[in-house]
Amino acid sequence: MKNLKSKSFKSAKSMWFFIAILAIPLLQFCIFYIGVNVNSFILAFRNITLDAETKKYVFSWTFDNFINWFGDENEFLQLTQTLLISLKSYAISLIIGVPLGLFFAYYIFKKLPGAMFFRFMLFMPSIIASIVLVSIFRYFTDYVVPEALNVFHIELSGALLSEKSTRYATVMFYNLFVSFGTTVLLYSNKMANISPEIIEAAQLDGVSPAREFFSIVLPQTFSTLSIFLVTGIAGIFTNEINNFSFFNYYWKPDTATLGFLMYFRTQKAKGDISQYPPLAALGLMMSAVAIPLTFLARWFLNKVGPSED
Amino acid sequence: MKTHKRRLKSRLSPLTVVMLVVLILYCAFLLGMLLWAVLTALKEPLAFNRNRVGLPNPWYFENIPYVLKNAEIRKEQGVVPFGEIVWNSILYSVGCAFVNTFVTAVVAYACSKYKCAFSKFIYGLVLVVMVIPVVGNQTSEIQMSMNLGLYDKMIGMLVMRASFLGIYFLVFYDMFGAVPSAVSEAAEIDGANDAQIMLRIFFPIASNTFLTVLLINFIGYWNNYQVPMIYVPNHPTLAEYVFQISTFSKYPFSKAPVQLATSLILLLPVVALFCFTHKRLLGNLSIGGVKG
Repeated sequence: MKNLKSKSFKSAKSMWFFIAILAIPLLQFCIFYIGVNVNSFILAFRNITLDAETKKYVFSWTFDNFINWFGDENEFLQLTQTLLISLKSYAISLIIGVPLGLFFAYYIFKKLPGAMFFRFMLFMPSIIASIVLVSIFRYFTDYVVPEALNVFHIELSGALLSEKSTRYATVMFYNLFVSFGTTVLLYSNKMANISPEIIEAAQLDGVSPAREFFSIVLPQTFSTLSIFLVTGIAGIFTNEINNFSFFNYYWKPDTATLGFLMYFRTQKAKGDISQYPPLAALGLMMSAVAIPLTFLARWFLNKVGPSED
Repeated sequence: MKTHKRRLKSRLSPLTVVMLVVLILYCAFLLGMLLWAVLTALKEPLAFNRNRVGLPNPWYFENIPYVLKNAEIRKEQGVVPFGEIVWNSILYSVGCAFVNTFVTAVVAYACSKYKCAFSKFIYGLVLVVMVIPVVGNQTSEIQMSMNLGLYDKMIGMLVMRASFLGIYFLVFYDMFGAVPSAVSEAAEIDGANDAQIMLRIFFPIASNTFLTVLLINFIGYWNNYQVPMIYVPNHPTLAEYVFQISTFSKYPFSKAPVQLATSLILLLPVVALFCFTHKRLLGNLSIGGVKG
């Protein structure tokens, strides 16, 4: 303690001030990060039932919370369905959303006509509550889109979000539509750090904008892109693709994701802790996949990603 | 003028022209949706069935006042009037945003200014927590909040949000680290103690970053309805009300004009705030967060 004090703190008062301002945040961390995660681990192996006589919860240990997800036919079906939709949604975001975001950012970085206005507009959906934008989008696709398509003699068989054949595509269109705000902003800010000399030299060499984008801008932005790709892995397990905002308490098997499955069940439990253990077990299984997958993605991107040099 | 045109022509290519077209379509769709929502909110609820796309006929300005006067949510503890719903929203969004930003700034300050092994440990801890994706622990958090008597209490929500984890810790850490130590040494010579140096010297220097992070957090909390629905189910916020109203069947709340009018009540404060602060928000955002 004495050694620590002499090296890092000017006086004992300074050390006590340091301890005082960190005490509450660290206590909060211990309870709501360490405690919650340890409890989540324990919860995954518990069976909780309500004793009818004493009206108290009775706890016991079990592996059933894990086994039921695979042993119970309905649970397994729901798990695989939501997993497939989660993977499909992640792939669509990766294949369509990421390149589009990079192209938009490049447009803004080059300060082409309307760049600042487009930056403002692309960020706008990020500040609007998802429930508001979803409500507007839902009514818009119900009433305005069919009328607009009628002008081109295209007739829809039903509302885009009601018809099974169009529902998932419409939901994904919305999710891609609102996804550009932060990513475009961060990509374009990162692009702004590229040395103007490099760009000027390339332009003097007669490099086309496409070549400039792929050979200079993309490698220089790759560190930011890889952060999004790596952290996005967890999104496979948490992204709800706005299911709750679109369909409220109605379960739609063709759009429900793993993230929504977790939220839907938690919401349905309405504070009844006896329904939590299977969800904690699912969370544990998802973390067990997400953590190595994240590190694998990080290693892969570091290995194959272009060098900024 | 000619030079400007030539420069513009040299910057345009098939790739950028395609992007321009896509961006114009994007903006047209977004603005079209928002404009249609505003116009629909100005339609008489029953007239909407006859005129879903066109301009309001007649123009009807009673939907928003009607919502402000009559909106309510029925909860286990009874009916929650609209005033209380708005108050819950303000308490939740301002409270959580302030607590979260302040705690993050304080911990980042401590780690940045007091260079000891423990500071380095906390810094490393934040990085590790950010990289490791722990998912699906919400049920455990609810149980924990119940055990601590924080469930369904706004104060409990504030306690749960008093966390320093996340990208903004790094933003504040870099921000405080960039301030020369001569500043605090001069204050010390003038007789300032540690608390005064933090609150009267370093926090004012970081006020720009602090306000930007506060704004971003505020917008996030103001718009969030899923978290309050789970943790404070009997304290509905305005965002939750907009969600609940879509499930109502009672006239006129079941009609699109009234539902969209309610959405606008939630939307307008944030859009107004964004219009006034977009330069700060968009300008200060850098890799993963905010630059000082």
